[in-house]
Amino acid sequence: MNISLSPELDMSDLLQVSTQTLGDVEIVLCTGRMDASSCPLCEKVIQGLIKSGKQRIVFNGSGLSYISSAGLRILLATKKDLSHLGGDLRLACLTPAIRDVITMTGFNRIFTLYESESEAVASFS
Amino acid sequence: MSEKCITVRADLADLDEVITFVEEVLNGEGVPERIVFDVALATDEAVTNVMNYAYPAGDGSLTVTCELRDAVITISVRDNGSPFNPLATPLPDITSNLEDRQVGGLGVHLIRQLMNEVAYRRDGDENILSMRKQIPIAVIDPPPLN
Repeated sequence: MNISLSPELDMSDLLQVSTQTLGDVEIVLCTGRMDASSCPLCEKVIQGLIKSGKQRIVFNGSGLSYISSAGLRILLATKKDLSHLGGDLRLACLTPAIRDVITMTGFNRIFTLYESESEAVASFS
Repeated sequence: MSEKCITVRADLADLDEVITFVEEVLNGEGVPERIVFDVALATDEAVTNVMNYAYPAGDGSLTVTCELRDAVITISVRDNGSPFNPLATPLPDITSNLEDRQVGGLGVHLIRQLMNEVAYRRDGDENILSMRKQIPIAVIDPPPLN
């Protein structure tokens, strides 16, 4: 699945969300800016996965230009939803600048950060 | 550089335009990537607040001014909405666990963390939020040759 807000525009910072299945783990790859205007797209994709019964999700942020508090709100809500279902959301491949944002907001107390996507996927087994 | 500014609708649909403006101005001045990241994110948080809350009764606009002087970046966000001091909002508890965690106030918390100085003032019918970021002298890159 590959969805973008405005596919006709070739703007590298426009949020794009794609998903991939690895065993019983879903990878959500976001590229561009995850801000208040674009993050509903990511939320929609993740909610779709949860509704279809997926409970183990890895958020790969390697292509994010940045994530604002609106995007963090979605990660937190997703983690809470999955936690209630017995699943989890794990974060992988964050850039140093975004890792700092995670630390500044105390999200590092809530999320375990994985260096690579494969490490995050393996952590579920 | 002189001040550069952009005026947009107070609508989240125009958020990208503001951030692209700030990034282009700072990149054009050779500001290091990491500083551009911090300033763009702080601007995003300030502008998002205005777009979401400043004009509950209808349409409005906001103006973002970007200035680089003596290795200090100043971003000002102005709107004509209801008087609102975002710096007076309660600080979030960033130490709580998953179940108790709230994200209200996180945007302003991020602005305070990302910038060196933040100030709010009401001037006539304007809300003005000014944010300053010092660029460490050693990391200023020369502007591109072209």
